[in-house]
Formats: sequence, structure tokens, C-alpha cells
Amino acid sequence: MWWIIYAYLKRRKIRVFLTMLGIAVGVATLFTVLSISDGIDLSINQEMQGVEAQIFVIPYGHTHDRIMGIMEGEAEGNMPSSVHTQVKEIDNVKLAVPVIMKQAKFEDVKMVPVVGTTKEMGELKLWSYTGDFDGAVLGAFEAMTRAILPGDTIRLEAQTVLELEVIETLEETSTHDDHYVFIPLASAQELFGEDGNISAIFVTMENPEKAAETIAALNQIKNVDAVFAHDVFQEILDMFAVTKANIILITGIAIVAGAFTTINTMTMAVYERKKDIGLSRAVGATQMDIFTLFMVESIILSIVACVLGILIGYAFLNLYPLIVPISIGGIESSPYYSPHNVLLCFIIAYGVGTISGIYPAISAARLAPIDALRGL
Amino acid sequence: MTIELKDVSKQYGVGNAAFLALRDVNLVLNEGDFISVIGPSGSGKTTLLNIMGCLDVPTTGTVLIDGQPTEKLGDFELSKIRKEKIGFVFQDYYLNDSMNALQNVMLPLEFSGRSNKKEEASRLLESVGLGDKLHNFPTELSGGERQRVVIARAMANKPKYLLTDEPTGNLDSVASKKILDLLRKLNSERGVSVVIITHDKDVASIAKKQIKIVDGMVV
Ligand SMILES: Nc1ncnc2c1ncn2[C@@H]1O[C@H](COP(=O)(O)OP(=O)(O)OP(=O)(O)O)[C@@H](O)[C@H]1O
Ligand SMILES: [Mg+2]
Repeated sequence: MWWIIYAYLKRRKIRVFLTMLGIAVGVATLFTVLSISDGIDLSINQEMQGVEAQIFVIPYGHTHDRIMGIMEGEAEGNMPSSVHTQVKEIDNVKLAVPVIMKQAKFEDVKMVPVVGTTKEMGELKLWSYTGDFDGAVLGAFEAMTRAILPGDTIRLEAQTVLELEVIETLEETSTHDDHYVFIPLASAQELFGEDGNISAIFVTMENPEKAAETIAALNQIKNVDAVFAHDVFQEILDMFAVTKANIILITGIAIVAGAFTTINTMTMAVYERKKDIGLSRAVGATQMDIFTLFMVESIILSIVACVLGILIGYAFLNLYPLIVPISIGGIESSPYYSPHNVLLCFIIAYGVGTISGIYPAISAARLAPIDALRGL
Repeated sequence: MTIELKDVSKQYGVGNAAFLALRDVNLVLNEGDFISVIGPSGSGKTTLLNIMGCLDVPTTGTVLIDGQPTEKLGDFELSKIRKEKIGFVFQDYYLNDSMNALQNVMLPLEFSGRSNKKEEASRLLESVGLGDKLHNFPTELSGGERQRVVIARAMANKPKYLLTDEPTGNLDSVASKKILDLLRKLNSERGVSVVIITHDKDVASIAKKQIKIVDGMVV
């Protein structure tokens, strides 16, 4: 049977190609969207794993914006350092790490997020460095790209200029930390001209089961908001899930458009091949044989188009990483190619091929042999 | 082993447009027969052939294939009869233009689920003298060659009945002779029952039996 279908496909290459392009574009769009959104999901999850703080303590109001700011490494320092002392005294608080985070010019070349913090940050992030926190701790990305080693001196510039010795370079974590420069809180306050101010406090608990009480107690502090880190990420994930669903719905329209191209091509094929259908019937083809021929041809068109579409999507994601802005909530990501999505594309293509083929295949099978031969 | 038509009539269209193409035709095609059908254009010859080969159904009357009445048969059974028992050669040497000669002959073999289609089809084409044109498409064949491909295709499933509609209609005398020799050979050597529709008295005369149709009636 395959050779019959192949004979027809071969004889009208251009039209076959154009028909397939219809579905291929739809599949390419779907595959691109799925790969990008999976990449984003993955990054958010990775970021979640990478956050050791169980609770964020931030200035009251604009909770969401502030957390986003923290994620992006740019948060206003409008909480007095004294809050830190209050937080430390609350029951069940294990670590309370104050931070001030803003952008500073690094080595006179580019802006990087600088985190002013205390020695507790090392405990929170499980740094191997245990000495005094009196210099800069560098994220893996900046350390690697600039080949900076412990003992080197770096220069930071914001309100004032600061020269600091690097005391530690961090392992790669695939989170924001890779891009951060950690420096002592007092140095950062001086650098940013934010004397006595911090942006947030990262809190961990002795007993996470008493989280509700701890949050309540923290919220007693004046002008302060305490939120669960996981709630924040869940919010970002939920927000993204809605966007994702909408985009996939729109992609569906592209695929439906592709399906119509196939229905059109297959219906035309039935008209054009009436004589051939009649001939096949005269030499013994059953209605089922004819139905199967058209059905399989339609499915093959869609499946081959799907392969084409995935290749187009893959090429697009690779060739134009810059025009695809993949960042949500300050979390950057790259497309994730999952076998699941490939499979999903094939299942959809199979479905499109089947649905597009049904009407033409039935009308071909229904032709009376003698009418088909006459081309009626 | 016969094809038998009993009081077969065929009406095309309805009401004012109704046209009776066959009127109470009775006819038997016996094993080993070689029958020619002559008659003026529009007299109902092609209609008769289509009904004999179960491609079309009579309006009234019965067609019996090897004793089995066909009016109650479904698509599957009718297809099976066409596949196994009947070979058609149409008036305008119909071939599938998207397929080469070999593939055209492979087509009936495909629908009967045979495995060695290619070898079988090339053997058939060799037997009609086209062993060197296997991969020619219909547009790359002469009329006579095309008609021989059609005959090879009609014989692919070794039918007992070969129904041919003006197989030499558009051919010159040399090509015509080749076709007629082929039909005669199939009849005498393989015992295939042949019906040949023709306008040509000389062609008709090679048949063992002759039938004349005028205005849808056998006379
Ligand atoms: N599908 C149809 N609808 C209406 N009338 C038809 C149809 N097919 C054939 N006819 C009519 O039936 C009559 C017999 O047609 P048929 O094709 O059997 O003639 P024929 O004897 O084969 O003629 P020719 O020698 O020209 O091939 C003709 O008058 C034709 O116009
Ligand atoms: Mg005719």
C-alpha cells in the first residue's frame, strides 16, 4: 500500500510540500512554545531549589514587586538594620540573614548585582569558606569569565568606589547566585550610600512545622512583611501557567489552520483521482481499501510535516536565541527539549492527519465504482 | 462457470430524463467462450459490459456469476468478484497516470494481498511484449503499448472472464493484430472467457460467437 501512496506523493511534490508546510508551521510554533515554557518552568524550579531561605522578611507593602526585585538582584534598601535584631530574637528563628542588594559597576566594565550581607549568608548557602567575612565572595559566572581567583582584588563602583579582596569563588549553581557578588553588609551600605539600611532578611527555622506561628510573630514587627519563599515561587509558577495555557491555545489555532490545508489537499486529491479510484475499484479494491489509502496518505502528510515542524522549531530556538526573550520574574532560562513534547507533537499531528483525512477518505470510498470511472 | 444475465434492464436517470439503455437482455457467457458484441454507438454495449463485470448494477433483472445471484451482495463480495474473476479492458485504455507500467500492473496484485507483486507484474508485462518498458509512465507509451499494459493488468489476478471494450478502437492494423492475437491466445491457451466489444466487422469475426445490440436490445 505504501508504494501507491508514495507514487502519488512523488508526482505532486510541490503541492505536498506546501501542504505539509501548513502543519509544519503549526507544529514548529507549538514545539517552540512548549520548549521555551518548559525551560522557564525548569528555571523557576531550579531557582526554588536554590533558595535556602524559608521566609523572606521585607518592608511592608508591594510584596510581589519586592520579591521580584530580590530575584533580580535589585531591591531598595528601605528597612532599618534594627529589624535584624528583632527578627533574631523571635522564637524558632534559626538563621536571620540581612541583605541589601543593588547593582554596582564591576571592574569598570559592567553592572552586576551586589549583595551586602553577613557571615550567616555562608551558613545559609553552605559555603565551604569559614573564615572571617571581610572580603568579596564571587559567583561562579563572574569568577570564571574573568578568571578571578581568591586573593585577587576587585573594584566596585556605585555611590562610592570600593576595592575588595576576593576571599572565595563559588561553585556553579545554575541559579542567580552565579551572577552575584557577595560583600560585607557595612561595605555594601557604604558603597550604595545606604547607611543603616537593608533590603530584606532571609530567615530559616529550627522547626519548619511551626512555620505559621513564626510567620505570625514576624509580622508583629512594625512595618514588616514576612512571606513564605515557596508561596512566592508558587505564585510565579501559577502566573506563568496561565500565560502558558493562553499561548498554547493560540498555537492551537495555527495547527487548526494547518489541518484545513490538509483537508483541502486531500479533498482535491479525491476529485483529481476519481478515475484512478474507479480503476482500483474495477480491479478489486474494496471501499475499505480506498478509505485506508486516503486516510494513510493524510496521516503520512501530517507525520512528515510534524518532523519538518520540529526541525524548524529546533532550528528557530537555536538560531535566534536573542530574539526570544526568555525571562520571567527575573529568572532567565533556555529552551528545554523534552521527549514528551516531541511525542505530544507527533500525537497531535497524528490526530490532525486522522481528522483531516476522514471526510476525504469517506467521500472517496463512497464513490460508486462506475461513477468514479466516468469521473462523475 | 458462467456469467448469466436474466431479463436485465438498465435505466439511466429518472422522470423526463429517464433513458433505457438496456431492455430485457438475456445472455450467457460460458467457460471458454469468445463473444463479440457489435452495435451502433449509444446502443448500450459499454453498459452491458459494466453490468456483466459487476461494476454497475441493473435496474431490473439478475446477474449470476458462477450461478450466484449478485443483487444482494455487499461491497466486499462484489469487490471480491471483480478482483478474482473478472478482468476489464476499458474503452479508453485507462491507466493510472501517476504510476509506471509496472506499478499499474501491480495494482490488482496489491488489492489481492499478494507478496511477490514486482516479479509477477514484470512477468505479466514481459508476456505482452513490454519487458523493456516496465518503468515507462503511461504518457511515455504508445496507444498500443498502453492497451497491452491494460491487458496485462486485467490478467494479473488470473481472472476467468476478460471483458474488453473496443480494445483495438484507436489502434492501427498492426497494433490491433497484436492485441487480438493476445486475446485469442488467452482464450485458447488459458481457457479465459473473452467478451470483445467492437465496431469493426473484421474484429468481430474472429470471435466464436457474435452478438448484436441495437437500442439496448440483443437482436
Ligand atoms: N451515466 C449515464 N447517464 C445517462 N445516460 C447514460 C449514462 N451512461 C450511458 N448513457 C446512455 O446510455 C446509452 C448507452 O450507452 P453506452 O455507453 O452503453 O453505449 P455504447 O454502446 O457503449 O456506445 P459507444 O459505442 O459509443 O461506446 C447511451 O445513449 C448513453 O447516452
Ligand atoms: Mg462504449
